[in-house]
Amino acid sequence: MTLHVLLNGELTELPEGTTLAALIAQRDLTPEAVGSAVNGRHVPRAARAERVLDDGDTVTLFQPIVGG
Amino acid sequence: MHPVLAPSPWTAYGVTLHSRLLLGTAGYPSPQALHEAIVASGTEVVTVGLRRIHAGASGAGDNGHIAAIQSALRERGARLLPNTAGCRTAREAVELSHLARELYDTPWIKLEVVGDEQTLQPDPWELVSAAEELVRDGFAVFPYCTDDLVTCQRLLDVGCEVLMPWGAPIGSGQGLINPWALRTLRERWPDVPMVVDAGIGAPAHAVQAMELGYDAVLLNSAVSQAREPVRMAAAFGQAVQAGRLGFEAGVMAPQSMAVATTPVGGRPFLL
Repeated sequence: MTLHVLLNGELTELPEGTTLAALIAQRDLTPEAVGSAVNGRHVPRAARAERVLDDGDTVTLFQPIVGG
Repeated sequence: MHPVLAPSPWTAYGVTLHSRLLLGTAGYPSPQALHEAIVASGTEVVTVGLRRIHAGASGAGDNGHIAAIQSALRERGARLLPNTAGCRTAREAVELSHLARELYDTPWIKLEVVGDEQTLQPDPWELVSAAEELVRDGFAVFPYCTDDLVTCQRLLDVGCEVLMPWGAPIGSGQGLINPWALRTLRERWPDVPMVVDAGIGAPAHAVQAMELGYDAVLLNSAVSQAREPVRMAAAFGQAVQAGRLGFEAGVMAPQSMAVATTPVGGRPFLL
C-alpha cells in the first residue's frame, strides 16, 4: 500500500510503514539541522524513528533562518 | 573604561548581559555584512527564526546567513533568541517554540503571536495563553507585546520575567509612538527587565528608550536597512550606552523658563 502524505505543502507518495526519520533521510536532510512536526505537533528528534506516518498525515519540516 | 563611565549590566532570566542591544538578523545585504554588524553592535543576543523547508529542497538554503550568525556568535560570545514570527495562534506559537528549543538548543523564546495583518500588532489573548503554556514547559519567555498595561500584567501573572513592549509597529521605524505608555509600564514595574522591541528606526529612538529607563532595545530593520548596516550597528551600540548612562546619571528636570547658567551676578556693567 502507498501512503499519501502532505510534505511541506507537496503531496508525496511513500511506502507503507515509512517513519518520519526515514522520510528525513530520504530527503538528504541532516537530521540535526531540521525541526519536524506532524499534523501541526512537534515531533522531537528522538521520537522520529518511532513515528510511523499514516495516510493523510501532514508533515512539516523546518530549518533555521535569520529573524528579527 | 572606568567603571563609573560604563552603563551597569542587566539581567534576563538569570543571565547577566552587558550589552543593552538585542539585534535581529534579517534583511542584511550579505552574510558578511550581517557578521560584521553583529560584531560592530557589541550585542550579546541575536534573534533568529524558523521556516518551512521548501518542498524538494535539500541542504541549508539560507545563503550562508546562519553560518555567518554562528561565526559572529563565537566571536562575540553572544547567545540566540529564536522567535515565533508568523504565528497567529497560541497553538502555533507553542509548537514552533518547541521546535526552536530543539533546533537552537535554548529555552529562550521571543514569543510573537500576531493578531492584525496591517499593523502586525500582537494578539493579547493568544499571547498570554501561549506564554502561560510555555512557562509551564520550562521556557524563558520574552513576549513581544503592545504597551497595554493590563496585557503586560497578565503576562507577568503567568510567569514571564521579561516584557518586550513595542515602540511602534514592526519595521515601521517610527520610534516610540507612545512614550507615556512606555513610561507608565516602567514606573509600574521598576524591577522587571523590559525591552523596547520593534519600531525603532534611528539611534535617537534607542537613546529615548534607554532614558525612559528601559533595560534594552531590540531592533532589526533600523540596522539591516541602513545604507551602511555595519556603521549603523556601531551607532546603535553607542546609542544604547549613551542613553543608559544618561538615565543612570539622572537627567535634569526641565524648566519652563530660562535659567541663567553663567554665574555673573547680574549685568556686566552698572551704568
